[in-house]
Amino acid sequence: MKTGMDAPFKDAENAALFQVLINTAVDGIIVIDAVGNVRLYNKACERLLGYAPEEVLGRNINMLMPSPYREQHDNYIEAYRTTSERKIIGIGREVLGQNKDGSTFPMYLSVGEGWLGNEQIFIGIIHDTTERQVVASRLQEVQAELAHVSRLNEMGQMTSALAHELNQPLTAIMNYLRAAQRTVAAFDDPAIVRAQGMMDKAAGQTARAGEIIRRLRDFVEKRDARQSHEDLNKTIEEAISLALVGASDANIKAVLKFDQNIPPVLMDRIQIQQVVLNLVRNAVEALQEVSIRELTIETGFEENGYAYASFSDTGPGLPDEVASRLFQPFVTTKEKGMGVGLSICQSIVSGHGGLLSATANENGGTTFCFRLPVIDA
Amino acid sequence: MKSLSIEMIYIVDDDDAVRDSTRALFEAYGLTVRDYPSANHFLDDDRTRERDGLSCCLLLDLHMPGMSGAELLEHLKESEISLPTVVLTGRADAQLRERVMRAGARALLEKPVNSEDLAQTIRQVLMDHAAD
Repeated sequence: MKTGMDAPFKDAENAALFQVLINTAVDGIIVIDAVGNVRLYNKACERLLGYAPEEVLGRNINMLMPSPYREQHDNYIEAYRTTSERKIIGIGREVLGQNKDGSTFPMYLSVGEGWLGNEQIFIGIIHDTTERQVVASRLQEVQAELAHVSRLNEMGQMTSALAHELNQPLTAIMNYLRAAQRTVAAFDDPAIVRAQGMMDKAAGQTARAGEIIRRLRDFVEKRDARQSHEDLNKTIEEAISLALVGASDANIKAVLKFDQNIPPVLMDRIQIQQVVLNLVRNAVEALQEVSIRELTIETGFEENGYAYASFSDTGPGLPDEVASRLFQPFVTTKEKGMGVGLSICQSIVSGHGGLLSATANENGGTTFCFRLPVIDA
Repeated sequence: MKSLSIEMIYIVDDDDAVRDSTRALFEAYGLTVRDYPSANHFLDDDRTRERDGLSCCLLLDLHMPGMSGAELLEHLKESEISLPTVVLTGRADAQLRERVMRAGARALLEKPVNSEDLAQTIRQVLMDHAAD
């Protein structure tokens, strides 16, 4: 029998090859059984997650996830086994992993399903998206998208501001004209009658100017028609994993407290994700200045019909002179910042009929919170 | 239909030209006008308490520095002051309309307002108010 390099491996070699493959893979590979217990945990996982194999093998995989996935994961498996509805299996998506030291990091997780004899297993492959190359290209994409949305929002903001500014004098012109007409209405001098006619025409032109402004504003606001009912948690989760790309070196612990009972929220998903992206990146920057680096992201639903998301950091907090003018354009704490991020966030949130607020935490740090109205489908 | 006369118009608007011209408009129609550059000026004016028994109407701008028009409305509602109010704003979408109405406004008009529309709205608002 031929044993050259191009011959298939023999059974004995296969077992050894399997070990080599698993342990030289750059991506993390984890195999779990049908109840979520870890059966295989390769070398790359040790590097990514910080746990030694003996700390993980035989234990529930949820120990490697941040909340709320940690609590939910058993249900995810159970749901899949009863409904066979694929949410991640065979698809893969960006999620958050948690290192042994408590820090969270973004990763691309793909999950496959298989059978060992008659035992069902799931194979997860973890690709650390914080790696330099990936970071660079992802960041570029995100920034390009942000820049695009920013431009559109600036245009919208400018148009709204312009409309408001022009409507004031137009209102005054209209009022003065009608007041003047009324003041001289008692006189029937032919000159006054002629002047009345001219004032009528002036009022007509004023109304026309108002109409032009209204049409311009409608045109700019039409692009907001991409709104649909979305799951707020999922929308935020996606944006967070993007925002934390490159943040793993920063050693930040992200704590997610998601309320699972929020009704769908009518929104432009991309715009809301831009808001989340901005708030999280601001928090990450603020946290660079302190030693305890925690970011708590909480969602919920209020009785008054608003869904909210809050972003609470343990950073140094905002200087008073900045805090009071926070949402105005060109106000910033950053050396290189333009100071438009939060004003854009503000205009996006208020464009959704919501509110964006910032409050100082008791123990230092800042909490940003946006509320969006939940309108029945 | 019972005829309704308006005896007093309050104007709260931070824009000097809008305030002055609105005043000129109503004075030209022989009404008594009191105008205020901010919500706080309005609340601080003791004379506004004399209006009992008068047929009054408040014209309120929404976007003002300090206390906004919406906040003033909510304040009036909390203080159980019943004053028929027409809100004027540069932009009026369905959501804003709902919010302002919930805060107690009777009508919402978009600037620039045609004076016939304004007069008609005030008439209607006072009629609704009298019917309550």
